[in-house]
Amino acid sequence: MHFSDDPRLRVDKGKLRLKNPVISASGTFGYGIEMQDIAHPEYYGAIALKGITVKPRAGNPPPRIVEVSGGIINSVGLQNDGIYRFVEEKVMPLKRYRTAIIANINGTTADDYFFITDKLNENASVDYIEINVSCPNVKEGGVAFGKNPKAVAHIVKGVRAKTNIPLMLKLTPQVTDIGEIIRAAQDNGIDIISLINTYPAIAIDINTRKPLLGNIRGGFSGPPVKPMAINLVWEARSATDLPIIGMGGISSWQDAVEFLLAGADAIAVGTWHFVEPDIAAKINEGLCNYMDKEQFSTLAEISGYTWRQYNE
Amino acid sequence: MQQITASIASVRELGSAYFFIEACCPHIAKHARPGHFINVRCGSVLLRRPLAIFSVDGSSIGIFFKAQGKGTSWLAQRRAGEEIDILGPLGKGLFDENNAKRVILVAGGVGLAPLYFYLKYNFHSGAKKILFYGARNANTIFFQNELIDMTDECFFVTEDGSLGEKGLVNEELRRYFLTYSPQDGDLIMTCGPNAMIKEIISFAESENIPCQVSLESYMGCGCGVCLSCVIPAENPEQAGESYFRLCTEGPVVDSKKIDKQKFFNMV
Repeated sequence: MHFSDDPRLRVDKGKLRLKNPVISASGTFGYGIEMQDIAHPEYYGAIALKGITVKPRAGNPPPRIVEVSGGIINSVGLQNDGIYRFVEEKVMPLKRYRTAIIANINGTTADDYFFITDKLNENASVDYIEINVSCPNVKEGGVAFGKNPKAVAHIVKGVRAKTNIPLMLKLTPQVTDIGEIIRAAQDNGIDIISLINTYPAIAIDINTRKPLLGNIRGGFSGPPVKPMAINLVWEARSATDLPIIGMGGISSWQDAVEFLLAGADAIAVGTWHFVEPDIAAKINEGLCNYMDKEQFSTLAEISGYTWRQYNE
Repeated sequence: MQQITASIASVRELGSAYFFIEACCPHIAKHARPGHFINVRCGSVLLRRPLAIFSVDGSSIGIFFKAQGKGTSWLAQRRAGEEIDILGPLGKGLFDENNAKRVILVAGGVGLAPLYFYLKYNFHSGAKKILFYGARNANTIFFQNELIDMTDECFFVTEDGSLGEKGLVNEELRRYFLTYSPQDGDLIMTCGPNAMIKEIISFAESENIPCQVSLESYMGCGCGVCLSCVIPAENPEQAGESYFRLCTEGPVVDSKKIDKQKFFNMV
């Protein structure tokens, strides 16, 4: 048995039910099958597919990625073929693998989110819908919604009315009080909280004196954001009992354990896919060994362990 | 595609910050074709560095590169016996003959790498092979004897005139065609700095010569998942296809696939 299928790694909390806690963060693992030679889809508890919009989107002009101290800034800008080609061409090829499928949905208006949800609901082809209100790389919508509790409430309520598919909300770290956003979502029917998206960032070439990204600004990610992401997972755990997916700078199984201890029920890997494509398998193996060594018998015992010491 | 811990067989400093490394990785050596690349993890540098495969010798591959940034400088400091973490072979787009009768190869600097592999791989093919290899000066023109052996005609071009013709490689290419007109069955293959690529594509398309070009881009995954390394596409069917992924749809592409106006603005 592969470590990814070890029954001790099961996640079963509220609407979040996964065979293991490792998820691929949207936008960092394509449509789940491209890297199967080295990173098999079944290593993952769930795969969050590249974000989709109603209409096809070109994305931002290149360069779209730049490496900075410890991390990267990206500005892909939601390049995708639109919802109509999504189910047939992107979801179906992944369906034959034993991993949950998460559709990451985006809009420039609230109606965009409702429309995409309608389409996804018609053929019930995905296991989860992740409402992305935190993309820093689009001019309209995106993170502007995620900073505003009223907009979050409106979008979650409308999406909830369209479907019974479990709903996740992907949050931006760029808020004063993450609890306020989470409560607005929870009051309107969100099932799962996922955080964090990237931090807005700019890098400039001092020789050409131009921005290094075609879009000027992008989203910063990588190991340096990890302590800040863990802080927000801790705050999220303090604000809600809903399942939490923690992400931000995870590059090892030790990082994953840290997120779990702070209150996450599952974790997602993003940037590190580009460094170690087989990171999911390594995290699952590391978690199993950690559970052996520390005598944990379920993942739930680890989730929020440290948080509970100070809050119960 | 595999992720491989490869043992370094040899490291050769060629001078002027250029290096040649041979690494043992049988899977990649077996499947590599001209135009394929590898993505190499370089110490504490975060993103892997994409490098064209230069040669294959038995179960080893060779890479030819210039130590320019943090990643390639780290790589240049490796020693025989050390291990490096490689993803490869990567890329779908390859240098391919398509029944060409006369293949004109235009290399600039380290852009020689995939073209050298093409010449070696197709040594026994029937096509006539003409190479234009440009660099700054005589100290940065490498593998001269092998290149002369593998080609029917071989032109070295240096900016200071210290070896071969003085000037730029695209000017030399144009001069050649002033003497020997384009013919049916001509094919240009090119790799080098973007400013050179721009000139070569413009020339090839104005003369209606098919042109296969190996491009460079800032790359994330190298495997098609992150959509970072994209190049503007000519005549996309819909907005979602306005850019294509260089890592999986290239790095060698037909010049007609590129939206030249947008691409030339970028370079």
